[in-house]
Amino acid sequence: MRITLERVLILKSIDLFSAVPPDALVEVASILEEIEVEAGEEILHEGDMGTAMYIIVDGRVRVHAKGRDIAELGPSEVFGELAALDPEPRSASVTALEPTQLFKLSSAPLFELMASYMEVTRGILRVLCRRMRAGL
Amino acid sequence: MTNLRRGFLSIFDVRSGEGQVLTLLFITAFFKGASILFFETAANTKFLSDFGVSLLPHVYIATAIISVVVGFGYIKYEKTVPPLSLMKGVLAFLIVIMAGFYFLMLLTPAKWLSLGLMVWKGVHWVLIQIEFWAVAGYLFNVRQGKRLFGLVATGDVLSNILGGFGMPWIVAQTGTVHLLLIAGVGLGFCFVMLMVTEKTQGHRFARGEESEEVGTRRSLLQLCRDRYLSYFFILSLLSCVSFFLLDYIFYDQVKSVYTNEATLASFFGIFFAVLSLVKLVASGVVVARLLARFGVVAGLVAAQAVAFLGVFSALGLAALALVGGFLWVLIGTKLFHEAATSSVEAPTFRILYQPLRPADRLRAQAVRECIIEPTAIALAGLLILLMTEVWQFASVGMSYVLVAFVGMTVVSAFLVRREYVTALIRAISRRRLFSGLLSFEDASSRRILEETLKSDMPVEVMTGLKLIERADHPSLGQRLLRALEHPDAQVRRYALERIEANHLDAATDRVVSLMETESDSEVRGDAVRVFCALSAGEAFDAASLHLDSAKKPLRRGAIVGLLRSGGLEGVLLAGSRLNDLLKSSCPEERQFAAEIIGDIGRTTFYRPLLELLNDVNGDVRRAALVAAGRLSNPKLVASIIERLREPSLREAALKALVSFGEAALPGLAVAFDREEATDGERVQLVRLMGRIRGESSTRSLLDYLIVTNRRVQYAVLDELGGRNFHASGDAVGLIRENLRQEIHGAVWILAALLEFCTAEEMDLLANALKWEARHSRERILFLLSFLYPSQAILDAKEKLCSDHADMRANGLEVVDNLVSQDVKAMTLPLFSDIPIDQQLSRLKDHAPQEPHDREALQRELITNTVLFPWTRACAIYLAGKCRDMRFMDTVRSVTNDPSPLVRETAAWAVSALSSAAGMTKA
Repeated sequence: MRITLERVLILKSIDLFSAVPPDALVEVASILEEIEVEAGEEILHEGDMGTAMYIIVDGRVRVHAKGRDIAELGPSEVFGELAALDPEPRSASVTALEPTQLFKLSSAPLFELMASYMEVTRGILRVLCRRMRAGL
Repeated sequence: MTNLRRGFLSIFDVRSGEGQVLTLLFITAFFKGASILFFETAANTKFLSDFGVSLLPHVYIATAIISVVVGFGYIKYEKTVPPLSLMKGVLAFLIVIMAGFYFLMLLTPAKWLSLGLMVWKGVHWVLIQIEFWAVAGYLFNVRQGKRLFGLVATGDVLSNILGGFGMPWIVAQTGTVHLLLIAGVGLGFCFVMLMVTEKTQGHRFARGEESEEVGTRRSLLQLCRDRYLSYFFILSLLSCVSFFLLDYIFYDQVKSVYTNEATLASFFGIFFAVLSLVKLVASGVVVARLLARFGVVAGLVAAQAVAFLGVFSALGLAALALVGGFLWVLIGTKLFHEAATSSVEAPTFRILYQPLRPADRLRAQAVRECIIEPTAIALAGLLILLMTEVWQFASVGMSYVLVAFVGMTVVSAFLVRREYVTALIRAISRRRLFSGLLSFEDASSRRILEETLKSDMPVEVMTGLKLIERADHPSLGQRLLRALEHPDAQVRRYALERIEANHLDAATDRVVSLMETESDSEVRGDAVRVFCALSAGEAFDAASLHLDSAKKPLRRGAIVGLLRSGGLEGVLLAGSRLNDLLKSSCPEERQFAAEIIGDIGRTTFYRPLLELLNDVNGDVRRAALVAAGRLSNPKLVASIIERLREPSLREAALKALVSFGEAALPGLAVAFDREEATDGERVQLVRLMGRIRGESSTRSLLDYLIVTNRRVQYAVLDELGGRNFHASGDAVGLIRENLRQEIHGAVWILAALLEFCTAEEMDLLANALKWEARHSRERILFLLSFLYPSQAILDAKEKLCSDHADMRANGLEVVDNLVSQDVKAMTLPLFSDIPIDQQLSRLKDHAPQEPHDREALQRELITNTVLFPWTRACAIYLAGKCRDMRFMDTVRSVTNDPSPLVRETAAWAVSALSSAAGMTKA
């Protein structure tokens, strides 16, 4: 079990939260759900409604769709990132390749937090704007 | 070598990343100075040899006319040609003209060439100066300009000293005409340096065009209508006239003493050598410090102050019949005035271009140097002619006229300074949207209003109606009646609401018609309610028909109408129905009851809401919150605050409390002071106080300014800033004390950062301290905004938090110009982009720091409750991670800290340190 400070450090390394100040990330860390999955266990299923993002703390996962591998992700990498902000059907399945430890961040508590902590909302908006500009 | 370089950079306040650009400009300035020196020497010598001084006034007038013509040409091209191409074009043009003069003089001894050379001298000077300083303006921002333009100008002075002393030898070797060749070579080097600048710093020119708002180019007339620019041009004109008046008096005096060519040449040789040395000292050492300490106004009045003091003293000596004293004081005055003009005033003028849009900057510069200054030279010439030929003034008489001009120049300098600050602020907030109330007095406002009211968009129509009502316009009744015909039910309901609020009897017939024929039941229900309000005598008969309607809106309209205006009979009948709804076991009925109570809007009807706010059903509680907001009875505040803890009802509770206004403040204060209130809840309460406007809420916010919790304190500052709070009375002392403490805290954080930023293993703590320092700067800027023009400082705060150096420089410039000298000295180093050790060194007199060792600092970081818990937790975490047993007691002492983050990290660190101690023992 990681202490809050360590959770914040992991969150800080994720692009979506890179502009959120650390004191506000402490609040985000408090709503993270720590989950562990076994090798071969499916974490997400393609087509299911996604309402959470996952951060890989330890282990590796395989992203696959329609029987084809798309990517392999490891520690500090994220999947389903935008689903926490805008729920939508999953475009791919994700399966653990080895015993994997994850942080799950669901949209409902995140929205509540965003309503209470302007710094979290500002930080996330800043990153989204940056991405939009980069894409323009 | 490194120490020597560092020492040099430190003396001249050159900062990291500025060296290369500074070197480029310095070398260019050197060649520019050489070109001017050799060209002017050749022109003066040839002209005086061929014509003497008799044609000199005519040369001045011709120079002024040609400068204006060339200036207009420059402005024309400046509109269409990109800056770098234009600058290259100017240099190429000057080289071609120079080559033309040189080769023609080699081919023919014609005297008209000397005359042409003398006339072209002034034009040459103006164009090369425009080109050079325009480049400098793109390469350095406003703050860098203040520090470095003076130093850049020393390149020019250096070439003048070297060239001036070497001139007799060079002339002896080459003759006068070949000086033009050297001047041309100097121009060639300037061109090469511009190419190098383009290659290495080209992005800065692009940046200048893209990052700032370019906007449409303004015509010359529009430019002159800009108050800032018009003052600036007037100042330029007066300063230039003063310069030439003093110049004439000086030559007149010198000519009266030194009668032969040899003594005259010796005098000028010594004079120009000393002048260059004075300029060198002034440019390199004095200017940056003078501008940094006293701002642009010092740069603008420095030369005038010298002229005033000198001429005034000289006049005093003349009054005492000390003719020799008069002469030498005037010579000294001329020396220091010319040095101050070129070394202090000229760089300051260039700073004054910085708040202008890029589109206007080059243009304003061209107008000033190609039109205003030549005009001033011509004016000075005409004035001198008038004084000498018509009024028969001698030097003493002209000195009085000069003093008057100096006075006018100083007044215009202060006006320019005032407008400079406004222009800077305007430049920063240019993108801000602003709105104003429509007056409906002018045709365009009326046209906009008509279009708005005809819109298909309900929001637009309602906004139009609101504006009319706010303006108390006589057409309101007619417009509201017309709005009852609008296809959108929302607009019709809004119109009914306003008819009721304004008690518009003339609308009764139309309201009756709506009661009978309206297809939308919500609108019909509203019509029933409004009819009761307009015709109280007939309310009972009309509304009681709808009390048992199957349509909820009609029932609602009837109950509300009767309870408000139905008389005793109506109140009894509708009251029993409302009571039934309140006691219903069906949540929808209770929710309906809450909505009705809200519609009634009488504060005395609050009691049922106390129960509904604690109803088991969330929708009922939400409806009760809405109703409570409409009733605004202070007895409901505590129950509403309780609902803030429910995330799904928080927004409704906040809205309800805001609608209470200042009546909610005592309740909010009680909730804030509750021991079990979390930081998050306190921040929320502060935000709520911020949304409640009025003096009482401002006072409440000020009370919480001294809380030690950083998050709460930041929210208080942010809310006060949001309402553009300006401290007065006792609040000034409170803010000043807070400011002093913040500055002290900020310096301590910097000292800690300096200690930890060098150790790689301490990265986590260094980053936390950097963030803490940024927060501290923000708090200081908030506090400054409460003491000085608030919106300007808050805009500057946004700029100072930017990632772009130029924006930070603009923000810093605004603060520099707005805050008082004592506060400036304490705060500017905190906002400047300079290394931490330099920041600390500049602040040592204002917030002295005891020398700290790293261990003591880390202990203080762990225990200091004024810091953010995050920073403290990082210090604790590192102690645990590094298994540093020295911190065991300190970490243990914070295991019961009020902050959950600090407590948790401390518990982890104690465990880590204990296990390390166990392993060591084993």
